[in-house]
Formats: sequence, C-alpha cells, structure tokens
Amino acid sequence: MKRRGLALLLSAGILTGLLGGCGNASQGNGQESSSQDQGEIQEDTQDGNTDVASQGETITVWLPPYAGADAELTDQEFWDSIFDSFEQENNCTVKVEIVPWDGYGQKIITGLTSGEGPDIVYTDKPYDLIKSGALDSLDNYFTQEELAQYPYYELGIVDDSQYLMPMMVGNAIVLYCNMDILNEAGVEKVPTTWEELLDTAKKIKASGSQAIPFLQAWGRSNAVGTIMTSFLPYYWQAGGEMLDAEGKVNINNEAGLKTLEYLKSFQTEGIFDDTITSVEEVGTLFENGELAMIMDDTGGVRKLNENGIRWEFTDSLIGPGGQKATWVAADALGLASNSKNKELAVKGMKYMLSAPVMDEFHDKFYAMQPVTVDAKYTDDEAFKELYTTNADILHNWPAFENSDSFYDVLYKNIQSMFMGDMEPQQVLDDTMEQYHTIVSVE
Amino acid sequence: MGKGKGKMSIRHKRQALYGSLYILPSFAVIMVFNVLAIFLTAYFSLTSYDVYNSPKFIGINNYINLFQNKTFKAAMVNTVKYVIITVPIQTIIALVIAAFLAEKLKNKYGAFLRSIMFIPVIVSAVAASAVWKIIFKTKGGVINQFLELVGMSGVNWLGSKSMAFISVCIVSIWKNIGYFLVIYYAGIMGISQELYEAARVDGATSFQRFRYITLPGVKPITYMVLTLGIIWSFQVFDIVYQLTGGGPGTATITLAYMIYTYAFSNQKMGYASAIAIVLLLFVIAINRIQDLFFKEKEV
Amino acid sequence: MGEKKKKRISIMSWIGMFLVSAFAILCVSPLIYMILMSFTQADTLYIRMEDIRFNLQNYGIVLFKRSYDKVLLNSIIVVVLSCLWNGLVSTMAAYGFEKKPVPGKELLFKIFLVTLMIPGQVTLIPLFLIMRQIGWLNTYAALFIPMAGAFGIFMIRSFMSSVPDVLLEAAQIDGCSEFYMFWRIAVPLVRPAVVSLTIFTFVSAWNAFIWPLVSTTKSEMYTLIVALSLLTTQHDTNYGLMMAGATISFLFPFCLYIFLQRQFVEGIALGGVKG
Repeated sequence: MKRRGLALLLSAGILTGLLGGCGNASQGNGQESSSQDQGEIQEDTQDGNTDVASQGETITVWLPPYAGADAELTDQEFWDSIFDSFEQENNCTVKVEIVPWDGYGQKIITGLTSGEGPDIVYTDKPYDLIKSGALDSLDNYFTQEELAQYPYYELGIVDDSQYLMPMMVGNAIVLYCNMDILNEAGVEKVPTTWEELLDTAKKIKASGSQAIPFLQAWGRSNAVGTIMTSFLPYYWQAGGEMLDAEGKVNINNEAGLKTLEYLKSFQTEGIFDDTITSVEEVGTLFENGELAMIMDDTGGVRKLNENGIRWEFTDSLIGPGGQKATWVAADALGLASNSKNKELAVKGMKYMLSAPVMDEFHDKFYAMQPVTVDAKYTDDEAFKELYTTNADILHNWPAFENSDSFYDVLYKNIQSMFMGDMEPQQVLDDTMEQYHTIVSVE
Repeated sequence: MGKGKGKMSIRHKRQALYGSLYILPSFAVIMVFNVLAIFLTAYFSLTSYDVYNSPKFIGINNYINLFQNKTFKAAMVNTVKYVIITVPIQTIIALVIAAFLAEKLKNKYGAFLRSIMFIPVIVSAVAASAVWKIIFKTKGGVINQFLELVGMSGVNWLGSKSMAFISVCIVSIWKNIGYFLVIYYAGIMGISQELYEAARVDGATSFQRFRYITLPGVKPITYMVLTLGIIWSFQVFDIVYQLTGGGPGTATITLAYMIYTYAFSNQKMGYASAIAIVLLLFVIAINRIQDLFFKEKEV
Repeated sequence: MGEKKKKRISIMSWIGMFLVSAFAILCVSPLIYMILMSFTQADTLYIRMEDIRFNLQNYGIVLFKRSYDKVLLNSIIVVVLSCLWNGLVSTMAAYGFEKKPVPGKELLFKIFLVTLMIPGQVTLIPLFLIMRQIGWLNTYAALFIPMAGAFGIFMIRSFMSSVPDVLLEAAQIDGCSEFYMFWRIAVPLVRPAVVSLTIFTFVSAWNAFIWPLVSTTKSEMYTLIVALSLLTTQHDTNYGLMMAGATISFLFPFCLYIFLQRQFVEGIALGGVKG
C-alpha cells in the first residue's frame, strides 16, 4: 500500500501532468472528473429520470455558519434535520458541511478545483468562480414560471445567464443609535447626514458620557467585514461607483477621496483615537450599551432587543452629494460544474430555497428577506420599508476580478492612513497600483 | 573472510540492495517533497499560474514585478528585522539562564524551573497567539490593565506599527526560549567540571568563568542554536496569521505570510513561488554569512 | 574576607534565582490565564473571580456543538500515523545508511541533511499541487506522509552507529533473516532515539498548522489546530469558548510532556532540531 502510493508519486506521468497543467478553463476545472465521469454525468442528465439517477446518490452542500458561538442549535444540526425528509423522498444522502466564514471563498476554490468541493455552492462573491468555469448555468434547470416564484432571481443573472439563485438576501448595513445615550447628550433624533453623524459623535464626546460615541473595527485581521460596514456604504453615499464603464474596479476618484477624508475626520476630531487600528469587536460593545452609534447589519436586532437596548436606526446616511446607499447581502446558491449529480443538486437547491425551509431558517437563526413569493417576512417590522419601498438604495458586492485581494489591500492601506503613514490620496493611488499588480501577475 | 571474491561480491551486492530498500521510503519522501518540490517551486516562479489554467512560462516577469511591489519590500524588511531582533535576544536569554542554572541551581528547584520554562515550546503557536491576542488587547487586556493599575498609560499593542511588530517578536521569543535553554543547559553540563574547578582555584569570578570557559565550550551549540533560530524566524507564519494578519497596514507582514496569501487567497501560484525562491535565497545567504563568521573566529 | 565574598556571591545568586523564578512564572502565566479564561462565561476580557465557574460548559459546547470531537479524532489519527510512519521510515533509513554498503550513501546523506535547511513555505506550493494532482487533499495520507524527513534519520543514525556490527554479523551467520536482524536486533538497541523521535513527531504533527490549513478543505478533515484557528478568528468572539478550544489543544502535548519529561529533554539535547 505504502510502496504503491510512493511508486505512484514518482511515476513520470504525474509529473508531466503536473507540469503540463491541471485541467483547463474550457473543461471546467475538475481534474477529478475525468472524461469517464463526464460521460456518466451526461448519461444522468440525459436520463432525466431523477429517481433512477439518484438511487443512493450523494450530494454535498457547503454552507457558512449562521448560529451564534454558543447557540443551542448548530447549523449542522439544523441542516441535517432539514434534509432528512429530502433524503428519504429522493433516496439519497445529502452531506452538509459547515465551512467557517474565515477563508470561505478560498476553501470553495480549493475544493472545487481539486474535485473535493460541494455540488451546491453557497457563495457571496461568485465572480471569480463563474469566470473560471467552476459554476454551471442554471438556465436549463429553472423554467420561467419557476423563476417568477423567486423575487430576487435577477440578482443571480451574470452575463445574461442564470448562474445563481439568491438565498440570503437582506442583512443590510444601517446606522443604529442607542437612544438612551443620544438623549443623555441632548440629541433627540438619529443623524441622517454625514455632518450630523460627526456632530452627534462630537456632542456625545463633549457631554462627558461614559459611552463611546462611534466606532469602526479597523483592527481585524480579516478585511471584508469592515469594508462592508465602514467603507462601501460611505463610498456609495459619496456618489462613487465601484466599477468603471468597462466593468473594472476603480475607486481612485473624488468619491473615494471624500470617503477617506470623512473617515479620517473622525480621528482628527478625536472620536477615534490611535487604538482604532486595534478595534476588533464593535457589535458586542453596542449590544452591551457601551457604544452610542454603530453601522451594523439588520440581522443583529434580535440580540439588541434581548439586551433591552433602546435603539433607533437610519437606513442610510445622506452623503455630501445627497445620495443614499448602503450594502446588502445577496448570498446565493450555485451549481458546481464538476458535480456528478446535477439534477439532484438542483432539486436540493430548490428544496433549500422553498418557503418552509427558509421560514424555519429565518425563524431559528437569522432574519432575512423572503426569497420566494410564498415565504413569510420574518425581519423586524422596522426594516420593512427599507426592503420594500427603499430597496433601490441597497447594493450588493460589486462583481470584479480578485475582489477579496482588492479589499484586503484597501483595508491595509486605510489602516496605514489611521496610523498616519498615508494620506487619503495615497491610499487610493497605492490601492489601485497594488491591485493592478496582483491582477496583472495572474 | 578469505573465501572466493565472487561470492563475497554477490553477498555485498545483496546487502547493498537491502540497504537501498531500507532507504527507499525516506528517499522517496525527501526526493518528492523536498528536492523535487524545490525544483518545481523554481519552475513555477517563472510561470504565470492560477489554479484553473496550466502554468504559462513568463520568464523572470514575476521577479521584476516583485521588486516593484511595495508589500514585498515591506515583507522583506520585516522578515530581516524579525530575524535580527528575535534570534540574538532568544539566544542570549537562553544562554544566560542556562549558565546560571548550571552554576547555581543544579538542584531539584533548578530542574523544576527548567521544565516550567520549557512549557511554551509545546503549545501550538495558534493557541499561544490566541491567548496573547487577548492579553495584548488595548482596551481590557491584562497587560494594559496592569499598566493602568500602576499608573502608567496603556500601550496600543496590536494597533500601532512598531508595537504590533514587537508583539509578534515577544510571542515568538517567549515560545522559543525554553527550547534553546534546554540545548544550552545540556551543552554546559557537558563541559568538564575540572575546568571550572581549576578556574575557581585561580580566583576567576563567575563572569570570567562564563566568558572564558562556558562561552567557548558551547560554541558548536551556539552555532546550532543560531542556525535553528534563523530558519524558524524566516518561517514565521502561525503567529503572524493568528495575531495580526500581517497588519496593521503592512507592519507585520512577512515573506512566509505573503507566500500563503498570494498562493492560497489570491491564487497566484507562480508569483508566490517567486517569493518562496527569494525566501530560500535569504536563508542560504544568511547561513553562508554565519558560516564565515564562525570560521573566522576559529582561526 | 573569604566569608564576605561568599556572602556577596550568595546575595547575587539569590537575586539571580529570583529573576529566573520570575521569568519562569512569566513563561507560564499566559497559559494559566488561558485555562482560567476557559472557565468564564462572559465575553468580556476582565477576569473576575466571580465569573469563573469550574464547570465544563465551555468544553461541552466546544467539543460537541463545534464538532471538536471530530477534529480531535482527526488530530489523534494523524499524530499516531505520523509517529508510526516517521519512526518506521527513519529507523529503516538510519539502519540502511549505517549498516549497509549502499554505494554513494554518504553523498545522499549529505543531500538529506541539506533539506533540513529548507523552510517549509518554500515547498508548500508544489506540495499542495502534487497532492491535488494525485487526489490526496482531504486525506490522512496528505497529512502524515510528508511528516517523514531527514531529521529522524539524522537523529537515529547517531544511535545506530553504536549497534555493534559483530552482533549483526553473528546473527547473519546464524542464518537470521534480514527482517529479524533489523527488527529484533537493531531496533531494540536504538529504542531511546526512536522514543525521542516519536515525541518530536507527536508535537510537530499535533501543532502543524499551515499544511493542514492548506490541504484540508472539508471541515470533517480539519485537524484540531485548524479548527482552533477558525474558532478564534470569528467576529462573534466568545473568549471563554476560544480559550476552552485552546486549552484542549494544549492538553494533549502537555500530558505527554508531564509523563515523558526526561525523554523530551534528552531528545532535544540529542538532536536539537524540530519540525
């Protein structure tokens, strides 16, 4: 066994295979799915009879965790029990894997390219996956009538093709205020513009309150969360567009500069001190009533209500140009192109998105928007207007190449700005320069 | 013995064959995962290779690009700075404590202290960094709480450029000292006691004994401790990953950390391989310098 | 006069002893802090004695709700396989190098030793690509096979040289099989070195991070340390849980250390290289 393994290792075939390339884009990227396997897949799909095709078959689903760290019910337990009836009905096995948020995108790519990935892919930033051919189009699996059942299906269209089905829509970033603290400082209403936010923070500080006026988490080792709450909304509010006419990312413009100068003004006004680049958790501070104002997601209100925080919110500040905008989640499900059981995977996908399943999920874990027409609205009533009449201010992640690397560079440069090593304009220049380096090397 | 040579040679051959078979598994592992891997790294460093498409040969473009990359410059400077700071400090502290224990505390208490100081070595860097991260918290961390208690102002450990770097150094020195201490202690105990006795009779002070007996006596050990310390320091990844993520800004980014992020977060295998080759060249260069230094002293 | 000098020295050594003792306390205090925090329920950093409850609630959550039971089993399997594999392969090679007339063996040994100088990150990318190519990602094999290396051979070979050739020759004349000579004569005589190597392998396999992080994509294949790193970097930070996870990861090598302290120390003094 050992010897065989090693002989295998040494065999020249492998080496030439390795040097010659590991799969290519046109073929999808499952080296594992050799031509033989692909033949099988075609047979399955042509067969059309899912009951026969899925005889004792296995599909894998990867999902990120939504349960709290010490929650009674874990994500794994929830999904395992959800899939019980599906498994019986279809005589199959569904393997659910909970993959932590940290490095989630990376695990997906590694998994899919090594043939060890999921059949049903949950993703928040699908651009690189689609471009590399790791996801299959869903056009052949959803009829127009079916699509009409999913109010957000258009969010899953990329290059005129239905690549994704939105699953977690909602969790928009809003500005929460702890009204007890605001009132104590003589502020009666929630700030609605950039100036008002800064002014309110200054008033709270001047009032000698024990609470922290306003805080952003620039000390995390992972960029995405902070970019989502503390950069993108402001950038959009300043009238910025992430993508230029050619669909390439560019923030080196006036909106970018205004945003960074605004963020920096919190430091120059003494709202942020030098420790801003070590701040990791802000949500907990707000939940505990130690923080007056925070930009955070709408999913967090459950905890606020539990803790008896008297909160009010504004859905988006009005930027210097009079614009309102904020970030919203639109995480979606896709079909892995190297899945060996696509029919069944799509069936599982439809099951996951169905009203009973999603209602239970929203109820047990995390309130999000209903993704089918027959599902219930489970979010806090306060946000209903935001998600219905004001929905046009909501933006999801912009789709461009290597976006995680871009956010990482930007994040580190903003840290440098807070440490006094870079001016706002330098942050923009350097971010674009470094990103171009990363993209150009391939 | 004096039998026919032919027979002998057959036996010899058979023995050689057996020997080869014994070595074969290790040979395969080392050849594939070390030797071949180095050549592959060198090859990939000359290619453009994301994980989806096969590698494309692009000559030394990666290296040209690399030397224009500011993050890479920061990573190089940090890595060298990190080696220069941690290696001497951990070596000196380990040597001094070992010498003290060997001279003054050759009892059970000394043995107890040694075993206590060794414990950080066996903790995983990931667990250790998780704990230190909490200890280093600017607001509410134990160290700052203590500093405030004695009337000093708290330190922005992980939030400022210089302190974040120092914090990484502190954790790695803390983790390594016990290991080198044990090596040094064993080395000092191996030095002949008669030398010390003779020096004592001649009226040498303990510092003189340390300077003229202990220090030359542990020279080969110092060489090994330095070599190891340098290789480990060049490899620092776990602590950076867990404690700072390379930040704030580029304050704690190292070559090893950059290899990981470029290869596995950005899917730039070719580019990351070029960084890996630079790292290898650094290790070789420093080892050469160290060899020169030690040889010169011997003359 | 002599007495005065003696007294001064003893004051100096008292000061030294105090300093070294303080340093030793400093060394373990983060770990004591870790263990204390693992018993707190609050998500604040302030440890107050009243927050410490000596119950195993955090441990229960980490083990059973965060699937640490699975990753713990993975770590144990990987460590056991690593120790067996590295022990066997290194002892065999050391025996081959020391006791068999393999042509060119000294050159080969030198090449092996040079590989000790290579930082792990330099070979990380090809290692990953090779493993992906042969479909070994997410397998135990990928995690334990690369644990074998030149260090073990180096460590055991110095012991192997003390095995008397006469003994092996006598056995051969008696018609003992090749396997018998290796397994029944050579191996028992180098056992101390094998024990030391096993301890090394245990600690480095248990604490290995970057390779398991890269080579496991499925959560069911994570090792304990990978799972711990993911637990500790989540935004929703519960320090009690985090420290419980860290304590579990510390407990296994620590117990080994308590029981095999002498071998630990001898091993380091003997070889002096880890990882």
